[in-house]
Amino acid sequence: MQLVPAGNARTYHTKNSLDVSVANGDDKRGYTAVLASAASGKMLPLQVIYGGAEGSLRALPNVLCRATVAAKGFVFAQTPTHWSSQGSMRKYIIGVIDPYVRSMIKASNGQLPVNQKAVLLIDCWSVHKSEEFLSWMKEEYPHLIILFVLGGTTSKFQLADTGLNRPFKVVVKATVKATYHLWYVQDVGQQL
Amino acid sequence: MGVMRDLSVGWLLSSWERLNGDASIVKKAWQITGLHATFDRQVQRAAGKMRDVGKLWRVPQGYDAEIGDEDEQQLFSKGFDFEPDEDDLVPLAQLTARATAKAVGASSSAAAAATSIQNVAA
Repeated sequence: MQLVPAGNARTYHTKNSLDVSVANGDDKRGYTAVLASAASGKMLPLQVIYGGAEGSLRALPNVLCRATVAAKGFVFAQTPTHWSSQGSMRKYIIGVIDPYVRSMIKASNGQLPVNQKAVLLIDCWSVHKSEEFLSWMKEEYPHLIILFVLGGTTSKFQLADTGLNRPFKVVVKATVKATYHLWYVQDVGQQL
Repeated sequence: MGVMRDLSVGWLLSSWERLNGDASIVKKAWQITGLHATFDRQVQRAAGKMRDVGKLWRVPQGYDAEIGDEDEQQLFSKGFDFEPDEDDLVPLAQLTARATAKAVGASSSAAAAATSIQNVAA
């Protein structure tokens, strides 16, 4: 998605040039939003992963922005590639999955034991299957029982794939279109 | 590009709230999964092969052997009590339950009971 209004893709460069450099044209910032849902129909808070050195906070949004969404349960992570990693996955369990299960236990008003077990259905990504991750889960969260989506059936059983990712991306794009250009026009207008 | 990073948080939050405000979208995702589980031949075949649970479900090492009877009872007899739409969940839940039951060596009745388990899927 191109965010900065760039006119009609024409330049003043010599006609038929093979290579035309465009300022910031190749400047790409990616991030990962980790989606999960519960069978109740609730979407769990997102984990947002930005590219940057793990353990550092430099690539993350500013404190005020983080605080706003943290109140909704969002968690942040930073990895060199902005993809999930062993470390970010652990943070996800700690920051999103476990709090959700605990909140459901609390909401049951004593009908569920504090160590109520829950099923976590995840796909066969290498980190999920790694002994390091599974050992850690077993050690730290024995009440979370991990089941894996059948090999080769991700498109059928991976819920994010079957019906969450696409609507979410559509909504994000619509939100960006609705707000970014307005912000851009206002911001540029103030500086003119 | 710090501004973009900051803006992206707002976009994500807004989108998440919009999607989360309409539970039917998420339930639809679960429903689609259920329909596929029922009608899709590929899944039917996969389900048939689930006898070999260790290979297909790749049950984590150690989990199957260490879930004892007491845990099993707790797992199968109680689920989260906030009324998931069971009709939507049955196919997936049945498959999940079968795999779980095989993994822990449980009986078929335990597997049937497990259809009420509240799944959390990531």
